[in-house]
Amino acid sequence: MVLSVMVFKALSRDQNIRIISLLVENPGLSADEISEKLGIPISTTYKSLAELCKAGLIRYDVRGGERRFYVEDFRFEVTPETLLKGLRSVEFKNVFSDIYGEGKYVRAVRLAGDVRDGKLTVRQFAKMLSITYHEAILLLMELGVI
Amino acid sequence: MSKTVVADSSILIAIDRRRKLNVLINLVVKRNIDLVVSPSILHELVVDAREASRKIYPYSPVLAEKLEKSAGKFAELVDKGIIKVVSVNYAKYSKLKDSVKKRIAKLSGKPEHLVEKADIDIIVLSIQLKDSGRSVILASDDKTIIKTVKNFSREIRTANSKTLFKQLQQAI
Repeated sequence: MVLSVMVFKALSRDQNIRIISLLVENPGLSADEISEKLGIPISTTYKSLAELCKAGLIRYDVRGGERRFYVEDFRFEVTPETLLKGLRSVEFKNVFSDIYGEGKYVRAVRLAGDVRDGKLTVRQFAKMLSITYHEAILLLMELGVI
Repeated sequence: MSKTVVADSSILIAIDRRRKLNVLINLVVKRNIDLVVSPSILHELVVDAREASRKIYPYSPVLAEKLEKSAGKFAELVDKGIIKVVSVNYAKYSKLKDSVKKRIAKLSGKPEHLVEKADIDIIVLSIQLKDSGRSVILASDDKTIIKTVKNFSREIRTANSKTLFKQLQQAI
């Protein structure tokens, strides 16, 4: 499993950890049962379950018209490198450097100035760097050009 | 007079990234404004987004997932007819197309072959729709496109992702 910011966030909340622990011992509980057993309001329970599902830490199936929740068999290797990678992965400029290297990033920053000054279209920018239009937009947004 | 926003991918992607796409859609539906893109823009919004998502996935599954979701959203808006796809009439506007290409090449100081079709399309489409009697706003976060369209028509209004909402709230 990828150690992403989504996972960090999901695991940083006390009630989410309590839900995971409860589900380890009682797999297949419904949202109502989780809420009741932990004394958490049902709306908060739904929010936590959605967050945990999105992070890939739990899953559900539907039985008798009700969602039943289970813990995924997740394992993380937490090292300074994996932490750094997880945090860096939400910023596209870091992803860009990882894919294309620092040299191309420096060139992109230089060309972004021309886009900012209205001397180069975003599509020309993308073409000159051999990247997709979406990558160009993401990078230009983070560089404050768009 | 029919009100039309010709949208560039840049503005739609930026608005979606800022989680304001629903606000824009509600506004155009409520005010009966046509939100129009060219086929080349649609390709960027859907096909290019998915290509970028595949490329980014090994480095950032979170970002890749966002791109994939965004592509799905745009495809759905087109299916529902909220974003309308209008083709450029190349036969009628071939001279204008060449002039726009030359203008962008001159502005950027780059050869004409480096001018992308979608850049030309969005400008020619705006003029084509204006000629058909519509009140047109060309919405783009690309300053070069905004600069270029102003060289060809003073009747076409322009907006970027920061000014579009204000312009749409006022009567077109």
